[in-house]
Amino acid sequence: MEVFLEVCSRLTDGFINAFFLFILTLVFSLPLGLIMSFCTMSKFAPLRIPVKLIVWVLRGTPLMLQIFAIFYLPGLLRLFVWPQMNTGWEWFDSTFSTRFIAALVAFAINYAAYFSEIFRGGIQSISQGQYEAGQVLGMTKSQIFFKIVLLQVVKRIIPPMSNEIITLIKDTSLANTIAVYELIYEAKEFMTVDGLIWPLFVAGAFYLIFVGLLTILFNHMEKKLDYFRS
Amino acid sequence: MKKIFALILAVMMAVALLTSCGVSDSDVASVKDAGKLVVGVTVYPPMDYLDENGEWTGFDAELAQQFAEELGVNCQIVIITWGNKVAELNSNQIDLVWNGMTASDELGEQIDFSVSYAKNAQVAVVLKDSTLTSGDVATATISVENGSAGATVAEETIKAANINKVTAQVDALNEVLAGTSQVAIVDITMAQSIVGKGAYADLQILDGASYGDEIFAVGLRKGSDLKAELDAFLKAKYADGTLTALAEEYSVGLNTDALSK
Amino acid sequence: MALLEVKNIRKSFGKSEVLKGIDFSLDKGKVLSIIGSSGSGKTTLLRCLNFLETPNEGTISVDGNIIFNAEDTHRMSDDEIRKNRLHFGLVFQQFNLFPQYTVLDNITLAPKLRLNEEKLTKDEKKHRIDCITENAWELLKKVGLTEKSGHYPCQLSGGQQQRVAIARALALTPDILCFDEPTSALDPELTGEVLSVIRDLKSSDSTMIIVTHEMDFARHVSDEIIFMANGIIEEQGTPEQVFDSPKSPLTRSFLSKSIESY
Repeated sequence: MEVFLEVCSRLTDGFINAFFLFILTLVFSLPLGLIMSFCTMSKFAPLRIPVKLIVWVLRGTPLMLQIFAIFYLPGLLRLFVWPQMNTGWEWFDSTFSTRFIAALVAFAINYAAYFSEIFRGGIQSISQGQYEAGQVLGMTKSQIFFKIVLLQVVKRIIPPMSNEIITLIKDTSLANTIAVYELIYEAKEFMTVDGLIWPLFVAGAFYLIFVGLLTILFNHMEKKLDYFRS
Repeated sequence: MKKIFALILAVMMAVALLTSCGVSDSDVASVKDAGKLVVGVTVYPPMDYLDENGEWTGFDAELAQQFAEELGVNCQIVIITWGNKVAELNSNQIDLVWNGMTASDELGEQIDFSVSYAKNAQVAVVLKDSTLTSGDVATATISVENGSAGATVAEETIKAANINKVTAQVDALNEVLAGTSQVAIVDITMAQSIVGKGAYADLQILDGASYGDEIFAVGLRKGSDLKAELDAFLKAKYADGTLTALAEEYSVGLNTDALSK
Repeated sequence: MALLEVKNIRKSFGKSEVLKGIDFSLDKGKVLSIIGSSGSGKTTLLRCLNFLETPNEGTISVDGNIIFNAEDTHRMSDDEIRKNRLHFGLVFQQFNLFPQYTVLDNITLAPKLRLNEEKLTKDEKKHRIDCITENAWELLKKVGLTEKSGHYPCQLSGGQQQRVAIARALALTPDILCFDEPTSALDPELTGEVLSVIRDLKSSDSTMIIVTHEMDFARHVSDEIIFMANGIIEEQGTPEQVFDSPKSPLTRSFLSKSIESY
């Protein structure tokens, strides 16, 4: 029992790191994905084509490879070394380590690429009539986007987005490619140091519970937007 | 939009400039400038592991800390992914790999080694109730850590037919426990610290199945000027008896020939 | 002087010329119906008036002021276009109500957003919003949907949705209200309620342009009929002239086909 509590407490530490990676990835990738989706829909080719290429590369190569490249390549090419947090607040500095930041950058741009395609699909699925109705009523482009289109897009993309977001929490374990401390990492450490295998399955339960909560949240959002059909 | 791109580029370049001072030709100078020696390890008892207070300890960890002290800098031990150790060194993420690393010829083409300070061998681990003998290993299914000395032994010394390469030495042990492999080839140092205990209580080291005559060394970037300082440090610590005491504490076999040269 | 004056409007999509020089004018308080087969350019003409398409040639004037001139080399800013298109209201074939807003909010959304462009004190703003809401209730009464004010579009029948769309267009008090086949997407039994709303509007002296396939309705509600074919105005006149004694053979054949199908 004592061992179990110890395992749970350390897995919780690991989970907290995984959660930070998860939430910060969302914070950066959602707006970045929206910007990228506008770029890929732009009529201006010098903007559209490079961004489409970037999306292609990000979706077309393994995330594990991208994490590796983003962390090691700058140093290998003698460009720069990822900066280290130095606030003097030990917990902060060790949680948001160099490795964590590199992983976060990799996750944020990778997921932004996936999100941008979901956003693009969502935005393009809104009928032209909605834009035209806004136009003939004298609305500005931004009013049309934010007051009319956005909520309809949100309603449409909740199912694919919830899929991606659930994948993201499990993908955070890929960060241990570059030895970022997170949940699976901690669980594996019980194996190496203490010879315990079952903490790995407890870690699985952590993911499962969190995904359960996310599922409830997304269902709730879907219900909330159930009042209209578009 | 173009402005945003320009801004991102500018920020990246600024970061490159700000941090480029860390990328210097002399490792000794850059370590002293930074005020810290960054040592890459994995959790690998008895060489590097965390004690109950969460502090690094172990044969290698203690030595690394003493070496940093001698340089007059802090010792920062970071966990790396073992398969990435060359990239970690070459991308300047770490200054040394000090983790019971087997100094193989292949690895020597990519990084430099310090004077060898310890000896190692690979052993075969099987289930306690296994009927396999050392003669059966070549025909058994073997699991090894990818890129490890054990993998080299399995391929070149044992010339085994069925080799499963997994990502960590413990995973190789797990394969045996789970019955997906019959034999795991792992470091004797590692096997002695873990086999027969905890979840690995059902495992044993196979009698008479010891392979290779390996040496442990500290890994450095090719051409690093830290090598001279490190070799001198290791030899001095052997001469004054510190190494012998540590070796006894952690049951590590010193490479006395190399250290006394 | 005519309220609306359209001169030599031409519009091409790629190589195909859809409008080949359209001229007409419309007096205040009059109702103009545009008929013709699919592909004759009637919807494109309506979309040009509402700035949803930009004509390649021609001018559009309202009340003697030129609001569009293809010759004018300076590109109109988005703001100018927005201001100019408010002379017109447009009711779409597919209603295009905003699904996430209630009936009342569909009507008040655009007028309320326009308030943001004026500098108003808090009290003024509150007063104006009250006016907008009050006006919306008036319009709902006009189209007979006051009891549906809190409903969402998906809870309404097609005919009800189109009546809301009409109220929404009227909320901005356009000089000319345009209808793009307002009953084509409706089940036959629902067209009546929409047509009767349009009839009521005529009696309140609204100026309207109606693109329609409902010949009987066009004949009774219009002051003027335009028959379009192949991108030009083939025939123009009072309902009696066009329906009872059409001059053009194209008009005759179109009318005989239309009557057969109804």
